[in-house]
Amino acid sequence: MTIDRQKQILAGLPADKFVGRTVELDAVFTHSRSSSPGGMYVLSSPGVGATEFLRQVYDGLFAEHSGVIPFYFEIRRTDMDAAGMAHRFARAFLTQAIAYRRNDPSLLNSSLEISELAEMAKPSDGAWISRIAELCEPTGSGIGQRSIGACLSGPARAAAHGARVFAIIDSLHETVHLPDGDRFVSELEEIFSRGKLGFIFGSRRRFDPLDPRRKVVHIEPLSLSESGELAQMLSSDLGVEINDQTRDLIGVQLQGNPARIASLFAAAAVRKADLNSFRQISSVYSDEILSGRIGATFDSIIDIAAPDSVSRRRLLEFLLDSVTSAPARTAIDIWRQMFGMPDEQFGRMIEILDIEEVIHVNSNTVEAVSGEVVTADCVVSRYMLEVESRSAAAVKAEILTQSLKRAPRLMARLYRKSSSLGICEMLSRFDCQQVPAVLFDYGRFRDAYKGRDHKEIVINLYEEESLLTLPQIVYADSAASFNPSIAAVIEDERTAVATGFSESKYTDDDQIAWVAAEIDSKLEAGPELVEQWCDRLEAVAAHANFDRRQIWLIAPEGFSPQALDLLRQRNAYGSSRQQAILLNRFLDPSQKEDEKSDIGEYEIVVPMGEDTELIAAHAVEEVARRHHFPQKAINQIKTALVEACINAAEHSLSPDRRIYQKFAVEADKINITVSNRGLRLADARGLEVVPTGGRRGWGLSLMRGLMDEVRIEQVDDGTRIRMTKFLKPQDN
Amino acid sequence: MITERELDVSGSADEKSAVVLAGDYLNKITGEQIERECKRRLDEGCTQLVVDFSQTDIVNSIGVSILLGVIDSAANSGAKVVFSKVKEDTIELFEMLGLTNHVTLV
Repeated sequence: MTIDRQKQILAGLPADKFVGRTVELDAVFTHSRSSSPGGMYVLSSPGVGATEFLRQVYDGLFAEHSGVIPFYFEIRRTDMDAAGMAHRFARAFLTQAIAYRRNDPSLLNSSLEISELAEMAKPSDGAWISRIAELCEPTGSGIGQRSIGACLSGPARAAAHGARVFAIIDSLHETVHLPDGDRFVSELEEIFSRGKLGFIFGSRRRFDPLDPRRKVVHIEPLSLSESGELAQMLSSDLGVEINDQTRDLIGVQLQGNPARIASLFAAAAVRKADLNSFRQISSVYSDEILSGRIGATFDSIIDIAAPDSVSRRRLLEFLLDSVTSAPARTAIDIWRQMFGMPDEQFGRMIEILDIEEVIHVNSNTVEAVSGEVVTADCVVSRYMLEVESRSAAAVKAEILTQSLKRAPRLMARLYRKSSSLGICEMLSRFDCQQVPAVLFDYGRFRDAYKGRDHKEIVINLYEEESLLTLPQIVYADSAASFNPSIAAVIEDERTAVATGFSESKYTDDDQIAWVAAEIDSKLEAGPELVEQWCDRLEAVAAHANFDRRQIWLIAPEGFSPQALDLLRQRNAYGSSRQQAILLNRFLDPSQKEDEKSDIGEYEIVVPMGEDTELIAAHAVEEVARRHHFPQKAINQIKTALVEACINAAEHSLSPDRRIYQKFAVEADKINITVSNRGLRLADARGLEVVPTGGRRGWGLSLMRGLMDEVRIEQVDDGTRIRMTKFLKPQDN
Repeated sequence: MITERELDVSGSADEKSAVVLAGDYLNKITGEQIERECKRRLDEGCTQLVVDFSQTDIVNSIGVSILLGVIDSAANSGAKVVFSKVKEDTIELFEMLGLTNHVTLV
């Protein structure tokens, strides 16, 4: 469910420019509409847009006008104390309640006094509004202890009088900066838990939630496709050119963080620079790290955590050590000793850095947040500037060149991740199923099935009598999570450790760990590679104290006979990629349909003239044949495509003299799109002089006769013809 | 490339036949070559034009249009037109555009 296209009230973006979060929005709106909603936490990491998310929720609830008064309140670092914040809270609630009841969002920006606002209340709300207004007026001595509770209880008071309220309290983690922040949060939790109202507490995910029983919605960084969508939108809005490669690099390097992505584009726009090469991105990025918004955000966190120069310098030294050494974990006591701060001050520093995810505090250790490229660059640049006293130019050169060198590695990692089998997820789905044992034995699989048709293999697998019972897996994670020292030589997405029980008996003897890796080998993997990997995975299992383990290697083309012998000696399983994909069919039956719905998309551009339509025809013939279209249909498709190309060449007066074609194959059809620049077909046909006898102009008729569907699509320039041929069963 | 030879396809003693080989792709260029050759043969008094499609894989609408011109020219000269060894898919195309009403298929 998406937000209605409501008026922009508190949100910073129009609803249609808010990327992603569809599932999360649905969860929150469903919660708000529940008859007894209670409380919910919305937790997020820094910069992922949680505040914008909550403001979009507010705007949506306001526009819905279902009778539930939405109330949004953001806790700010600038609030000096709990009393001041409570007063602001009460005023905000009054303003928003009256604005909602009067359906007049402009009241939210008014500077009316509380008494004036109260006068605008509807008579039915008068009782509780006037009471809240009364309580919120400061006395001569300021707002006392009692009034804090009263100010915070405005929504509960309204609910007690029959008004339905849904409160969104944002940035709860900012209370860590208040001297009496803990008290504020406790009062808030107590008041809201007692009342009959629905509410959301929004906070950084590392800020401890008060009630672990509450529902939680996590706002995660944007996915790669969502980052791309955001980048595309910013590119268009700000006039900053990007391409497919740079769009993806931006998403990967900035790790789906919308705030950072927006900062990068804003900086590029100010510089009138494009982001259409890795070099351009690195240049704008390095400026942002050094003196832009991204760097400033980091600086503000460090300034608050370590306000004096000595502790700041020491902090930078420790952070540099954390981001550059492996393993990047230090006992917290060492930090405490080296800083020599009073305990309270040290605790506050650690808490702030943890909440803002500059570091990760886990029990008694402090470590760098792994894979955090931007934070690492900020740390390195600040260290170079402030501790090593290097010049800004030298630091920029360092950040820029490192970014440029890193870019291809980041992209390579992305491509490898995208192509990985998802071993961890696959192991997680092991749940005592019985699957053909041959799927874990490359030697037997090769002998029985290599070279056979895929459908035939699947049918025969279902008839296999020798079965392997998989364990019940209770926990799976990357191998590096179990043994960080191995992180340098393995990739997270291609190795996994899964613990479970062979027969669901939950005894020591029944416990087992599967340690698996997807390894690289152009041909059949040889014995040296197998030995190396078996050693690595054994080391992971030993480090994690797994007595019973099963090693499983997956190589793209399987294993050589010598490697198979070695696998047997080490009681390890070896599968080819094909076997692993087939295994997935048994583990997840819904995937049986995925192969059918796979779309093959092909694109070709040919110049006009010189019978180049034949090149296109031969290409589509190969495509159609590959997807098992019968020969008769293939010939029809070829002829229709030739006609479309001739049409483009003859009528378009195209300036670039190119014909763009796309062949999209689905399970039951092929869609062919032929497009070109120049005159539009309708305009060109109006101008065409038909020779006597009227025998020209048969192209379109032929296309319609040979294909199942033909559409000429409206485009601003040139022509786009879309044709479809359905796959019919072949005659035997 | 078009080749041609003289053959008596129909077997009639009065008929003078010419065989013209259509190439693998019957388009504007190859169509015009066929047209020129056929006209030459008609001028020489040919009474039966045999167009051999045994090697023809693709025919486009311009090629068909030119063939219709050849058929018209032949009709005006009192000659017959025969299409030989036409692939099934090409026959379907010719039928769609009405050519098969005016020629003999062998």
